[in-house]
Formats: sequence, structure tokens, C-alpha cells
Amino acid sequence: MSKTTMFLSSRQIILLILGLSIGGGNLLLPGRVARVFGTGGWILVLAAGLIFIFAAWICACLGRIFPGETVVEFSRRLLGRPLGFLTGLVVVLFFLLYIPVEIRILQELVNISILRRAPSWFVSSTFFLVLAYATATDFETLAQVNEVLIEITLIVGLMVTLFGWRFFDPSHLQPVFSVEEMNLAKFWEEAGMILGFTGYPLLLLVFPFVRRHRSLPRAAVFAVTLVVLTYAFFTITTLGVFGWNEVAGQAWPGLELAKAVNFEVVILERLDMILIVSWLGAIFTTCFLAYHFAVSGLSRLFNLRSHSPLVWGLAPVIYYLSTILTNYFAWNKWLSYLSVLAVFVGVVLPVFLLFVAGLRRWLGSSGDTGED
Amino acid sequence: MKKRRGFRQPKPVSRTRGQGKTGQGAGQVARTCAREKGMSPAQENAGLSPDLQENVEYLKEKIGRSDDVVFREYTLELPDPVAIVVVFVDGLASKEIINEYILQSLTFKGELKSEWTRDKKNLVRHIKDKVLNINEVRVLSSLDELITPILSGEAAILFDGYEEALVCNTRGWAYRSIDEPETEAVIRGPRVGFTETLRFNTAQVRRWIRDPDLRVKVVRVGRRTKSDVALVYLESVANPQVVEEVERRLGKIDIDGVMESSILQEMIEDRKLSLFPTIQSTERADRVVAAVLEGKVGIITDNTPFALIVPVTFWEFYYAAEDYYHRWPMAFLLRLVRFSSFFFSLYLPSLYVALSFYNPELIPFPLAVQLAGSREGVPFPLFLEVLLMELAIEIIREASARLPGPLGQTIGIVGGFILGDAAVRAGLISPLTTVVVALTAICSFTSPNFGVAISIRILRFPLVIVALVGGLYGLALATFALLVYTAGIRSFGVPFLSPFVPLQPEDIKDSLGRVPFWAMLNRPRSYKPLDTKRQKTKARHWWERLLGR
Amino acid sequence: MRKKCRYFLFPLFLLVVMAAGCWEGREINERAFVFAVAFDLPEDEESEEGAGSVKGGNGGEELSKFTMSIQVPDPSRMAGSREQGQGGDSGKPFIVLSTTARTVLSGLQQLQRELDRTLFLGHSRLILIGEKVAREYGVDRILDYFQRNFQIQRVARVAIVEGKAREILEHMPPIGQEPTTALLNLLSGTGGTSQVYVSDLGKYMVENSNIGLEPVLPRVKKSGDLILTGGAAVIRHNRLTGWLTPFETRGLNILRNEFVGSDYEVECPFHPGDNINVAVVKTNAHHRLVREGKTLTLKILVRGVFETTEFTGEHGPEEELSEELTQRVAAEILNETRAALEKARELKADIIGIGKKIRAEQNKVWQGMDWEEEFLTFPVEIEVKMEWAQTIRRLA
Repeated sequence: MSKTTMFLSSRQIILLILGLSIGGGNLLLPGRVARVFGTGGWILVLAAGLIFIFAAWICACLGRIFPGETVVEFSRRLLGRPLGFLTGLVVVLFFLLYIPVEIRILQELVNISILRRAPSWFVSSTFFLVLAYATATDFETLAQVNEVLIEITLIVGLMVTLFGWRFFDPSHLQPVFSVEEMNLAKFWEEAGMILGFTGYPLLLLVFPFVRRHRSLPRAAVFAVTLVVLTYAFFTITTLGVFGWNEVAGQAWPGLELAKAVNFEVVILERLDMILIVSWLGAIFTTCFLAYHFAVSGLSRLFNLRSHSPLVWGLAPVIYYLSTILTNYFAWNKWLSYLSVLAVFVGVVLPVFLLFVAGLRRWLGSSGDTGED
Repeated sequence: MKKRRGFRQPKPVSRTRGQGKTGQGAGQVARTCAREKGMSPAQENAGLSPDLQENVEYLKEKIGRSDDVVFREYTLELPDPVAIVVVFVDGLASKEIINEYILQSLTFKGELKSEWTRDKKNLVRHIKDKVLNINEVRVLSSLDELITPILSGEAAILFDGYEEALVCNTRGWAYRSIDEPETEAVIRGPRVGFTETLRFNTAQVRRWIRDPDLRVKVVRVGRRTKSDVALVYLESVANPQVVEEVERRLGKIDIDGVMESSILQEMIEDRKLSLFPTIQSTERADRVVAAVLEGKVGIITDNTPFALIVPVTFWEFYYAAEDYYHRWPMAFLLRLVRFSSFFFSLYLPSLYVALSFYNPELIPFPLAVQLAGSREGVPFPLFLEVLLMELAIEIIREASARLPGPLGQTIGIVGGFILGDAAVRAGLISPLTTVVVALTAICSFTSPNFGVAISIRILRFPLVIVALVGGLYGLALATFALLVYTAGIRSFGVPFLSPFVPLQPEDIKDSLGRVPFWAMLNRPRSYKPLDTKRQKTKARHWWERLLGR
Repeated sequence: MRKKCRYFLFPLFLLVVMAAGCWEGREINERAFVFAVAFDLPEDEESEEGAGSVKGGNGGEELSKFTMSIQVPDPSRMAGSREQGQGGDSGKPFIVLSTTARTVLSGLQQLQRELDRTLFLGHSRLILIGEKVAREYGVDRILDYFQRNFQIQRVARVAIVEGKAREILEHMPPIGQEPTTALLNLLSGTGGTSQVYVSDLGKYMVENSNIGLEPVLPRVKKSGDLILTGGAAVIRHNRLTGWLTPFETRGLNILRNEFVGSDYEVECPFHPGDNINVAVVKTNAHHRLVREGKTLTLKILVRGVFETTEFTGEHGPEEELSEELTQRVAAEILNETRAALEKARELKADIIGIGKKIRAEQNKVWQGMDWEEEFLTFPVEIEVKMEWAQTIRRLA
């Protein structure tokens, strides 16, 4: 029927943020915090979460100031042409570089469990085909698919976590702070955990499609809070079931948790497989949302009309990037670099833009196109 | 002479035809007649000439010298006798009506009440107003306009010396009586289905809904068949955009004939290549009524008992009319059973292949050992076994559908029992495969709607291939692709997977299960009805209900 | 444009499908399910240097060999027996294969050469480690492969065998088709005697990773024609250091709150010579660290509920019995738990988790402790309070 531009409700924005945040990396999260912070790992999750909740709020506030524009346009207005262009490019790059590493995680996940010894080209290329097909459809469909997939993932994840409480041992969480277990020097290696929180920068690109900008900050804060609480709950459970020492040695604590709570009477014997299959959905949503925002950002950056050719055009590049990351250590390092970008895009940039916007307003009516 | 309408322009015939008693016509069904005689659209509109013979010649020229068209010449015994000709199609028009109410009236009433006979100028109007005791009579003054009514069973009376003709509703052909539709039988619920006659069908809807807002709009589709297609909807409930869109799409159809509503269905679907039907078809009058009450539009086509309902969501293909007639716990269970069998029928064979081929650790050990043991010595690889069996099931199903009644059942038994058992005994296939395939087949038959069951059956084959190549991973990817595909489908603007994608929390009450009627206060929001309130009562909380307050 | 892209997809997809192989996929009847794995020291005549190099350990870092046995069910026989009645005259419905190897994987590969079907470990539910292997090679070295292989479930049972592990795989149980299922049932503690320490691979890994807690694994023994469970093996520094008797295992189960209920025999307080059987239905051990002055004490309070089930004398339950009986049952349980604690001290292995408790709650104290030493002298007070509860069916 009639093609009208789609407007996002608060609920959809929350689910979009959840969809982009919750991806393959979350199965690794408890291991990461355990390696860095020991038994008090969940505190690290909460503390990091607070920062990102605040950053998300700032991001959403930008939306109230520039309701009709994306970061590509308003950064150009605030910072001038070249600098603004650069800003837009960095944001797009963040989304774009997110995809290869997610694909790598997916491939590793698939190769250790469901499809052993399948060549990586097969796993990543088939996934990529479906991904590109999905991204080439309209955003409305994407948002809807994201909704259902992320809900399923959350339900399955929650189920696994709740079952885990059967084996919960509170003494595993004590002592809350223990210097002997902390290894802050390892933080750089495990910095990839940050990416689990930074789904909200997508806000920078959706301002024109938001129905009510007034409720945007509330939705953003709610979404990130939900993400943080989910992670904290998941981390507490995993640490409580295994103890930090065991968790620190696990590459995929999430999967181990699912394996630990296997039932013997269910028809499908293994809960971990169900978790993996539903987590493929989470990775899928993360990927297609990142892909979509990268592509739509790019097409705004270069004033392109349709984004579908761009989807197919970028595909070989992303696919090539995913083949560079040959093993765990390679993609883990990539994740660490990416998390720097994430902090820049998610925290530094919004604060800076808000500051500049405030400065301009404070300087009075000095004109929009101004200096710089 | 008046300016006349274009020939092919669809004309709202509905108002001119009542659903009055159309007696039992004799003879053959004259439907074919109308199809044989097409008229070249280029011809100019001819008005009636005062010369009767000329008119008759023109009509004979147009309709051809078909033997089933009767030109009854007759003379009105007036002081000044007027020659008239009654034109009708034998078999379509009721002979009794023509005899009793046209010819008889014209003969006797002319003598008794002769006052109207004096006014020669308004003779035709007088006959219409005072002589003919037929419920529906129109005055027409164009020859071409006469043709379609004649071919659809009405009788035309031409008068010598007048530029006007009368068209009387004399329809009465052989029809099937109303009985229970075989494809959608119910244990509890009304046992009426639609028939092939449009008017009976619209009347049935009226019988249910005595609301002045009920609209029955007739559109004519088909260049040659000129089939009547009635849109049925509630003016104050249905979304006007949907109604408009249906009309627009029906108007765009340019096809020679509409044999069945399926042709319309394919022509007006949102996605022409869609694997899934995006329009529901039903034979049950109560389903159409229920749909109309929900704010949807029913499309009833002449000459077929299958009505269409738009818009529709995917899940609705799994709703049966009965779900609303049983008590809700039963209905809830039935729905759940149906939806789980939907998932089984889609995924069971491919899961079977994927698990046994790549991930036997997911199959419980005793079952896995059984499976391995039963496959010992089977010559085919598992996926081929499954594909062959699926194919065999399809063939058996088709064979039993084609063969007449009792023989068809025999084929089912022979095919299912004997062939399957013999194949297992001969070691051609493993018993577990037979179980899986048979279970899948049975599951696929639980769908109350044939159309979507076929889509699912088609999908099963590629899914087995995908499972062979990619195992569970491939299945997951295929599911994602399918999800993206189906989520993108719109049925007249309504997302195909709603109320789940996008989520409409209110509508979930009537989806995978059905809550009691008192809890369904609103109409499904997915269809964006104008009036969302189904019950005007204030919503009471469930705890209040529990406490009996 | 978009449409065209989409049509471009299908041939691409077809190409992928065509090019795809079947990776690790096998027809299910071409797999050999390894249901149980057992590890032993090699027989002396098989490899002379094997055992020698372990003891000395002087041959550099050369890994010594172990014998690895797997049990593979014969599906056609297992599945077929249902149809043909008891057609088991041709032998057992499973086969046991053995080889000697330095690592599990190489052992599997050697076994693979003997078998035309692909070995599949996804259904391995039982890992049996022979006493000598556990003592000399360490448990971790054996289990490492199983910890890393994603196919292996964390719920797979691990047990230490007193004697030769292979013998247990070959043993035919009195009921059932193969020993593994029978053994799995025995090891899951469903018998209700609480004399088995219920553990599995995942639990072992968690226990092993905990500081201040030594892992315990169940014990399996073959005696005559029977497989016996009961008792437990204490692993310290990754090696088997000693056994717990069934009696001590029950005490350990009570102390670690793993208790599933068990029967006790107590002498009747009023009628010496007569016994009263009581069923302890549940217990709950509450651990509490108490600081008195400078010393830290662990107080363990065990609360439990029992019911009387059998009287050897002519009398039934009487109200006057209550106090005396309760005390006797408590004493019995106290005995048991003390025995477990004593044995733990004897073996120098903190299997109760006292160290873990201190570490969690008194981390500062823990930092200054040499737990290996202090465990032997750390004050532990056990108090047992029982209650006579539950139902009485007959009074006289």
C-alpha cells in the first residue's frame, strides 16, 4: 500500500537497542569480568553499566535538540563540514566494523557446537547471504524481525539463567572485593565486553524517525538499564554457579552454564544447543542492525538515494574483513580496538556534541553556519 | 437521446436486483451462454429505436442466433394493439415468472383496467407501475444495456413504437441447496455454507448482521463472464483504506473470465509471487460474518461458494470456525495443538535429518541407538529416504483426492498402510522415518485452511536439503530468512505476522490460544478497525472476575 | 534494483549448496557411540617402560602411556533384541575396545583404526578412571580432553575404580542391556543410601577450581560378579590420595549438604539388645565461622529430621523414647561426620570446604594462612540436632 515513512515508538527503540547490544559477545561476558575483576565481576558490570546509562541519556538528549537530523547532518552543522563529515564517518565505521567480528564469533560458536569442522567460508558466507538479504529489505521489516528474535533470545537466555540457580552457591561470590583475584592489567585484553553495552549509539542515526522525542531519553535509559541488569543477573548466576576461577578459564561461560543445567529427560537432550540456536538469532539481529545503520549512515553521508546497492557493494569488504580474523586472539584484539571506537562513539562523541551545542546556544545567536 | 455510459464500465447492479423469490428454474444452467457471447467493446452504444423489428434484429445480431435465447412475440390487446417482444434466456429465467407475472398480467389486466391504456404516451411506465406484479422492474432505453441483464437471467420487454424497454427480474435457475461445507465441517456450529449463487450468499451474511452499517457493494469483474463480486463490510468498523484498496485492486483486474474466487485472489494479492496466501478463502458463511464483524472485508464472488476475506494474518490460517463455538478451554487447547502441529509439519523432517546427520548428541541415547539400529542395512541415505517418503505421501494424497469418494479412501489405506509396512519390512526404509513422515503428514492436515498447508508442504522439501547441508545452523538461517520474508509481507497493509511481529499485546488473546469472549473486549487492532470496541463494558481486572465481583 | 539483487541471491545460494560438503556429518548408523570410557595402567607385558617412566619421572618430560578402553553399543543388537525377544545368545549387545596411548585423542584415533564407524563422543556419559592411573598420572590429564571437547556433557559421570576399570565396562548387569546405564543409575544416588558421593564432570571441574576445597569423586568397585558403588575417592593435588568408606562418605554428604536421606540402626534406649531403624529424611548443615578472641572456629550445626521405620523388639514407638532416641541418632550422625572430618585431616585434603568458607568470609585471615598446614589443626565444632518427625503408621 502507501509507502509512508515509518516512525519508531518507544518500545521499538528499546528493542532496537536491546537487539544491537545483545550479540555473540555476551556469552563471553562473565569470563571476561571474572578474569579482570575476580569474584566481584558483577560490580564491574554494574559500574560500567552506570556510565553507559548516563551516556545513553546524553545521546537521547541530543535527539531532543536535533529532532529532525541524524548525527551525519547535525555534526556537520555543529562542527563544520570536514570535521562533521569525519564524525559521521567514524560513527558509520563503528557499525561497519562491528559486523565482521560478530560473524567471526558466530562462526566459532557454530564450529565448536552445531557444525563441527565446517569450513569457515561456508559458515560465514551463508550467514552473510541471509544477512545481506535481510538488510536489503526495508527498515520496518527489520525492526519487526528484531523484535521477535530478541524476545525469543531473551526468554531462552533467562530460562537458562533461572535454571542455573539450582546450582547457585553464594559463597562463590565472596569475597566481594578481593585484590588477589583482580587483574586490572588484563582489562585491555578483555575490553571487548564494552561492546555489549554500546547498542545505544544507534540513537544517533534514528532521530528523524522517532515518533515522540520527549520520551526518547526515558526509553534510552530504560533500554540500557535493562541491558545492564540482564548482564548483571547473568554474570551473577554464572559466577555463583561456577566460581570465578572456573569461569575465568572458560571461553564461553554462557554455553557452559547451559551445559551445566542440562536435563536428562527432555526430548532434545541439550539445553546448550537450544541456547546456541536462539543466540544465533541474537547475533543475526546485531549484525543486520549494525549493517543497516552503517549503510543508512553512509547513504546519508554521501547523499545516496537507495541503500540496497550499498548493501551488496559493502558485502565483499565485510566478508573479507571477517576472514582476516583467523582465531580467538585475533578477533579478541579486534574487539578491544573496536571497544575504543565504541567508547568514542558512545560516550565521548555525544558528550562533546552536547557540549558544543550548549556552547553555541550559550554564545547566543551567532548564526548556525558559524565559525570553525 | 440521452448520453449513455460506456460499455465496459462496471455498473452497480446490486441495487437493481433483489433477493426476491427466484423460483426454481428448469433446464440447464445457462452460465455458459454468457461466456460464449462476448461483445466487441468497440461497438457504439445503440439506443432503442421505435421500430421493434429493428431492435429485435439488433439484439439477435448481438447475442447471435443462439438457440437458448427466446424472443417471444406478443401483442397487447389494447384499443390500439401494440406488438411487444419478450426476450429471455431459456433456463436462466424462470418460465413460471414469465408466464404468470408478465404474460398473464399483460393479457388480463389490460382488459380489466383500461384507464392506463388510454395514455399512450406513457404506456411503458404505466405497465411498469400498474401492470407488472414483479418485484423488480427497470426502464432502460439503451439496447446494449439490455444485453447483460438478459444474459444474466432477466427478461426484457420491448415495445413497438417506444424507445424504452422494461427489464424484469425473472431470474430462476437451477441451484444447489445450502448445505454444510465439506471442507470446513464443524462439530458444533452453524451447518450452513455458501452456495454458487451470489445473492443467496450475501443474504446469508445479512441474516446474521442486521446492522444498517452492513454494506454490500457489487463490482463486476471479467470482460466476458461479467461476474458479480460483492464486497461485504461494516461501514463504521472496517478500515476505509482497506475497502478502498480492495475496490481499487478489483477495478484494475482486466481478465476475460473469473471462474472462481481463486483467480481474484491471485490477481489482488499484495505480493504476486508470495509463497503464502495473503487472502483467506472460506466456504463458511459464519466465518465471513465473523471477519466482517472484526472489521475485515469479505469478497463474495458469483458462481463459487468460496468467499475471500481480507486482510488476513498468517496465524489466522490456523484458526477454525469452531474455535469460537467450543468453550474456551477446549478452543485454547485446539489452537495450541494446531500451532504445534504447524511447527512439526514444517520442521520435523528437516530436524530429523539435521539431528541424526550432524548432532546425534541431541537425540536421547536410547532413541539414538534405536535409530541407528533401525537404519542398519537401509540402502538410501537418510535425507533421500525422507525426501522419497515425503514425495510418496504427496502422491498418495493427490491420488486419493482425485479418485472418487470411497475409492480415494482405499488408495489412502493401501498407500499408507500396506506400502509403508511393506517398504519397512523389505528394508527399503527405516521404521522411524516412516513414523516421522507420517506424523508430519498428519500434522499438516490439521490446518483448517488448505492454502497455507500447501505452502508449508512445499517449504518442507527445501528445508530438508538445507538441513542436509547446514544442519541445525542451516535450519536456523533458513528460519531467519523465512522470518524476514514473511515479516515483509503485507496483506492489504496489515503485517502478515501480526500480532506477533509487530507485537500487538491486546491481539494475542486470540492467537495461539483463545481467551474467553468476555475477556476479548476489543477488536483485533492489527486490522486497524475504525471502531475498536467489541464490548462496551468496562474492562474488569481478572482478579475482580475471580472474586466474582 | 532491489528486486534484481534478490533474484541474484538464489543462484548464489544454489552455488553454496552445491559446493558444500557434509563436513562432520555422518549417517547415524555409520557412527559408533562411545558410551563409556575407562582408563587403566597398561599391563606390564604390554609396555614395559610405561609404568617405569612414571615412577622415576627422570626421563625428561616424556609422557607415560595409559590403557584406554571404550564401550560401544552395537545398535543392531540393542535395537533388534526388542523384536526378536531375547536374541542375546550371540553375546553382549556392546563391544569393548582397548588401546594404549599417551593422550586421549591419540588413543581414540588408534581405536578408530579398528572400527569402520566414526567414533562419536556426544553420548559419552561415563568416564571411569582406574585407581592406579588416578594415583600416578593425575585426574586432570585424563579429563582435559573431556573438558575441552564441546560434545561431552558436563553431566557425564566420572568415577574412580578400585581395581581395573576395563572390567567394569565388560561386566553384564543382572538387569538391563549394558553396564553403563546401570552404573549411571547407581552413581546418580537414586538408591537413597547416601553412601555414594554424587558428582559429575561439571561438578568436579567446579570443585577442582575452588580454592580451599578438594574434589571428591565416587568410587566404583568390582567384587565378584557385582559392581559395587559406595564410598568416594579423595583427589588432592590432582591425584588420588585415599578412599572414603561408605560410612565416611555419608558423613561428608551431610557436611556438604549433599545428603539425600539414609537409614540408620540405633540401639533401643529402653530395651538393650533391640534395634530401632530410623530413616533420616533430610539434614541441613549450617557452617558458621566464629571468632573467639584470636582464634577462629568453624561451627557446623547439623539439623535433621528422622522417622522410625522398623523395630526389632516387640514394642512400637513410644513417647518416652523421643528424647533418648533423638540423642542417639544425633550421636550416630555426629560420629559419621567426625569420621569424615578425621579422614579428611588424615588425607590432608580439605574436602569439606572449610578453607573456601574462610576465604570467602574472612579473606584477610585467609591471606595469612598456610591452609595446607592449618587445616590439620583448625578447630571445627560439629553439633547435631535431630528431630523425630514425619509419620507413624503403627503404634504397637
